[in-house]
Amino acid sequence: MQYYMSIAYAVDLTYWQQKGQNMIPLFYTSSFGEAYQWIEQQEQQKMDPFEQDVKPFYKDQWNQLRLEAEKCFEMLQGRALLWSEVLSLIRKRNIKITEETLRAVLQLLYLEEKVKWYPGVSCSKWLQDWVCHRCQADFHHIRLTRCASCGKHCAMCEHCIMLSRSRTCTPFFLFSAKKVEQQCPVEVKSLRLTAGQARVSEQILDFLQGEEMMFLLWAVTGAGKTEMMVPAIRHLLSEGKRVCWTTPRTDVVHELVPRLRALFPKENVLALYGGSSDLWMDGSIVIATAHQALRYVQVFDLIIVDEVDAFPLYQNRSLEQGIHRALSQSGKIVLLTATPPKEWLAWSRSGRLPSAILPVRFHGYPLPVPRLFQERRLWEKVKRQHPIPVLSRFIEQVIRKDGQAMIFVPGIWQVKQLVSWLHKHVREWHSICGVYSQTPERAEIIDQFRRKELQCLVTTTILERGVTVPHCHVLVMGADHPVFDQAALIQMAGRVGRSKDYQQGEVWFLSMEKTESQIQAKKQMDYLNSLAEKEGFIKQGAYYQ
Amino acid sequence: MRRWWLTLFPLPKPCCFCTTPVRSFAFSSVWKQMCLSCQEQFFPINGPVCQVCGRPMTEEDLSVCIDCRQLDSSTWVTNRSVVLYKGQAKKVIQWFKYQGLERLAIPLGLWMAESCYHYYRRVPLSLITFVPLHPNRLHERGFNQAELLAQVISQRLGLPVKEILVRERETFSQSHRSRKERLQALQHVFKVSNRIDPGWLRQQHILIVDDVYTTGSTLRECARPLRQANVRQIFSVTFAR
Ligand SMILES: [Zn+2]
Ligand SMILES: [Zn+2]
Ligand SMILES: [Zn+2]
Ligand SMILES: [Zn+2]
Repeated sequence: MQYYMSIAYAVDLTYWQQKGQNMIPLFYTSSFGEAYQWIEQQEQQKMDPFEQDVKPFYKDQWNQLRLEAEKCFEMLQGRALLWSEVLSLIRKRNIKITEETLRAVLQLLYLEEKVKWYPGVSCSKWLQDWVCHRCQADFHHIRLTRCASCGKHCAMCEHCIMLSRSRTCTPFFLFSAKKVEQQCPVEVKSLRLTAGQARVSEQILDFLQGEEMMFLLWAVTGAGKTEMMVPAIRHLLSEGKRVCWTTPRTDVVHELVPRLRALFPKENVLALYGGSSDLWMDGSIVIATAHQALRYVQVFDLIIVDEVDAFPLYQNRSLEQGIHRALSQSGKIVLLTATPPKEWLAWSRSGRLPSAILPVRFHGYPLPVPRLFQERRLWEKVKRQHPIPVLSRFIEQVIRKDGQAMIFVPGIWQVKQLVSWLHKHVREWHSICGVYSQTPERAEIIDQFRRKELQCLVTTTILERGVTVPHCHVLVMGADHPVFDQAALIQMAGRVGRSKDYQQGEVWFLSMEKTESQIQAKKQMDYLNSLAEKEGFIKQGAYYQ
Repeated sequence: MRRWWLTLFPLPKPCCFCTTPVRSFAFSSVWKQMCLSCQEQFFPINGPVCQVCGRPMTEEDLSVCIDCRQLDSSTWVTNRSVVLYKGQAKKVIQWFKYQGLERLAIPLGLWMAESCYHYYRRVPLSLITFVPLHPNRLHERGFNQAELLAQVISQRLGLPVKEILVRERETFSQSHRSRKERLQALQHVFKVSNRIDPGWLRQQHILIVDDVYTTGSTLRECARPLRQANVRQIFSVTFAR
């Protein structure tokens, strides 16, 4: 005896009749999760009887349904979606189909084992067993509410709610992926790799052929990681495979999409983030925020996890499992980072995690090494608008070298205090702006800074990655604050010297005391520079023309 | 000893609208349980307001605003709102109502209860109700945002909540319609539920709860069947306007 669930009973009736199998309806419930739990645990609890009068499909109707099912499956394969998301996808693709027919279609796919399903959230008797099947979040993120859809107490997941509400009474579908293995020509804009980039991209191509599943690429800020990945992406696309580039930050998606579209002019490059117009479309290269990767299952042969150390991906079990779910059975993962966590470096040294280091930027100039300064009662002086000679010296040299200053501070209050300090003490600058996470005109201010209309930008760690302007100098005020860990300090220093035409940019760390993270950050950059020198990269001659 | 210490310097908790840690007491106002940047992006309505709709007014203005004076005064509903519908308020309503982050009902509702206490302290309120959703919409969304807010307010103010109104027709997305069309679509959509005893209802001073006040037409339509049922007084509260 086999138990099945049904969201369109007429389909079961017809399907099993045709197979000559007997079938009886057991009970009816308004909650998908309740039915699922009943089958899982065989708890013979009392349920409402099934009392609907359902007729099987006519022959024509049935054939029509099979056609519809084939058409829908084509679009849904490789996706992991909640019922409401299936609807959105079907609507976006302009498929004229009623919700009722869609339910029948999904039921048929389920009986044909082309789709697996789970309730969005499982909540059994034991709290420890509660889980969101979409994002794997546990009871910490699951909330029991009175639900008007199923009329019962029903659990919802708050962890992946920015995608859509995953609930006990709603089904979550995992459509199996079709394998397409065909040779197809891929057009790539010709690109020049530096010697260092070329060596790394060779290593990645070797890794794709090999047995290992994960590869760590430690490339300094400004090394040109997009270009390095191009040969690997081209190789996979030419075999008809699909690639996903995922990142924790939407900014990175916006930045990468135009570059990859230019590099692969004939390919369909999708940008997926909340509110993107590419949502629900198909493409061979998918550039997605980490959460969007939760909507795929076993489709990608390569997933590039960019800025893998950035919040919230690092140490986030749910997103990690999402990435593994989106990976095909023989798929590979490349982890990209400029600031690898300690334990990864240990794995890499012990050979557990194959890896490559690119210690030099694309233009071949060394990384700017931070200078450390101490100042007593720093924030008190800022608050009281007392003079701070080191700060003034930093600003003087920025002005002398015709640069722009990015000043990082630990929090919002410090942004405001420092901005008013600068207004009082720096006569030469009249355009100074403060930015923090909730500044409404944030994007506009950053654009002004890029256009050189602002001379100084005071900000919190939100801009530690991403924003690069050629004439940038960086000062980290209060570098001893715990929000500035080693990785953050390296990222902030990495804003400087990105253009080969302006190498006068400086990085200063100003704090009340020297901390381990400041010392380690400086050490790491010295190490990378010496490594680059040893390997002969810090020379103009080392470049391909 | 340690406990006492902790009550003086409470451990940081996440801000009730984002994840930034804030040091606050469990019993302090919603405003104090928020992080600085959330505070900065909310625009609370303090000071003089229109005595009818609760819109902020400048000192010299009359007690009733221009919009309200254009309406038939027999349809006026006394309304008060907590914040302006912009900045963080817009975002929070988006998370709460459309993404379905139901737990936000707690800080929002508590904040509304604070406003109710401020404005309606001297009013003999006896009952709280909420703007109903059409059953189809309710089934689709899974919850009624106004009902959740009403429940939180009721707990804080110690007043009962009751579902009094029903929505008879579905009104589809309002955003792309003209003002006139919206008003027409709303006319007579609400009705007193037939499970309510009319004699009991006549005795009540009712507070209607909704999430956002746009033109006020929804609340005026809600008040219409209640007036016909001769309830004593009708007030309303919304989170944003
Ligand atoms: Zn979830
Ligand atoms: Zn439910
Ligand atoms: Zn906040
Ligand atoms: Zn008014």
